[in-house]
Amino acid sequence: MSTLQNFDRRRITGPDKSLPPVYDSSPSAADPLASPEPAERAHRSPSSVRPIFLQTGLIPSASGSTYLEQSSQKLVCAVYGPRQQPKAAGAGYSDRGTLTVSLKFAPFSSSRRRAPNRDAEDRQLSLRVQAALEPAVRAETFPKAGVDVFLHVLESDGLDALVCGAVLAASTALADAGVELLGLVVGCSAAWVGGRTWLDPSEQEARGARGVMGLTCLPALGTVASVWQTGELGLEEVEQMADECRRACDELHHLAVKVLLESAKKRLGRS
Amino acid sequence: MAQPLSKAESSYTAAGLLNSQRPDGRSLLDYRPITLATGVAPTANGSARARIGDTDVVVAVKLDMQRMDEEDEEEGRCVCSVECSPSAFPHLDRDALSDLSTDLTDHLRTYLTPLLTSPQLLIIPHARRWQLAVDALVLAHSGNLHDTLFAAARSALWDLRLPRTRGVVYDAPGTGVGGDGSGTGSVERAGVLDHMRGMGRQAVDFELEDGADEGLPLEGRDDLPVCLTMNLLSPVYYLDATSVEEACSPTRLLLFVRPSGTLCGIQKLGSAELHPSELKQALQEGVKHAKEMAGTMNRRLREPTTRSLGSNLGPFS
Repeated sequence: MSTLQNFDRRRITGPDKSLPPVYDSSPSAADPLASPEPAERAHRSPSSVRPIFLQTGLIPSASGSTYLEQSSQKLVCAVYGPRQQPKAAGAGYSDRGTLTVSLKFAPFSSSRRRAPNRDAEDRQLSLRVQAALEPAVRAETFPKAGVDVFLHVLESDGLDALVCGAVLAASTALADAGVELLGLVVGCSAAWVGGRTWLDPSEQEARGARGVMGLTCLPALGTVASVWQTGELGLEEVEQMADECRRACDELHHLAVKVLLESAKKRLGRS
Repeated sequence: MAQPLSKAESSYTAAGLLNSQRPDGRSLLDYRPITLATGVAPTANGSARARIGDTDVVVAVKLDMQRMDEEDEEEGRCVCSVECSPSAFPHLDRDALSDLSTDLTDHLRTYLTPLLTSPQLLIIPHARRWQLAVDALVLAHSGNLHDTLFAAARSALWDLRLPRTRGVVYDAPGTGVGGDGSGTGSVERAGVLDHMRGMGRQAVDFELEDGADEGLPLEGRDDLPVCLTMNLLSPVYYLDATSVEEACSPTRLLLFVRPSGTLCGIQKLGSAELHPSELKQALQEGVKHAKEMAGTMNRRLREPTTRSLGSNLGPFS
């Protein structure tokens, strides 16, 4: 490996090629989705989203912050702003502020170590989260400023579920920071397995599925913020999955509202 | 991507679109003249150039042989890169240009990943495979970059010819028969052609066959997905936006549809929100138009005149 590529003074780089050990009894050794189209989903019902723990106020120095934990997904979101942005060349004056989302994985967040400087996948996921949040943020209330959203993933299991969790954490953090929003954005992902929709698929479930889709929406307004899909699906299947995702998003919205109300009560009780 | 428009021009274009009128007189569902030419880069294994209106993209596919490690999946490998030539985007600075290239590369990689599971890309199972290097160059941009890029990529993959290979087994004197690999076809054993009769020898290397043709076309090239961009300006939608139209209605839905109607990918770009019924309608109409587009493109690619060195650039459909 060229030294130019990996020269990072802050870290002691290990060997170039290293793999995680696989034990006979570990889940990755035996593939639960070995059969082409498994009929039953292990541990959960097909329409259940993994239980979520969401709390604001993790980082006191940020304008707003949240910590989100699902069964195998943990992430921290911090929002700074609206604050002055470094002047971008050629931007000129715009009557809307900017929203920047930066999503980064911790090196220990997945079973294979991720190098700290990975850019390509991080950028793609950051753009997905940004595309989901942009319709909700009232950027015209901070014209010459910008809001920065930083997401750190401590553990991840399934990229589509990760983006949806990140969107929920980020919109709660934005509300906690006092940024004006048209509504809270929540997201839900779904996989098509065995002729049925499985909501909130883990990485293994998503790999065994014929197609995976994610949808983020604003349940308060009943509109869709963003949608993405990969895999091979027919049009009716996509529509069915979209409907189920939107129903699940309504429930997630209640959870986010409850969390924000509790944190507001705590803040008012203190001051 | 596009130059910022003044408010007056932006609202003028938007008002026209809402009245089904476009600056160049097309209807909302008309495409500008689409030109496809394959075989534009003779040194590549497959190449094509696509032009929609003035947006021009060249894609070349090259094959490399790659050794597989034990933990690699049993499929081909694909390395994509999209380069946006600065002459096509004179108003973007270097960072914005490289960001745009990265985004287009990501889209291309998502689009091409389903192809890799084809067994045609494995030369010798567990040992050797083809690596596709897909390189795209955006020469000119005047709106609808995604459709042009994927039309060129599709045509280049249509034009791709995989060299014919034959497995080779090296036979050392005195060694017994071993291994339990699946013997397929005939295997050349130290110069003598030996048809596999249940011997179960596994090929360890391969050689290229001499042949009159350039190789095998990619299996399933008729079913490659087509990209259609549905530009959404509530409550209308329109196809094939120019740069000005893109700037005034930045919300789009990218649809990747196979000729059979299967959806391979959906991506929404832009910052406006959609009503669920609008989303459903956009998906339905998009799939319908994309199937038409795929059928036309397949017919055009099968015509013998397309396979020339880009000298027959003329409008079609």
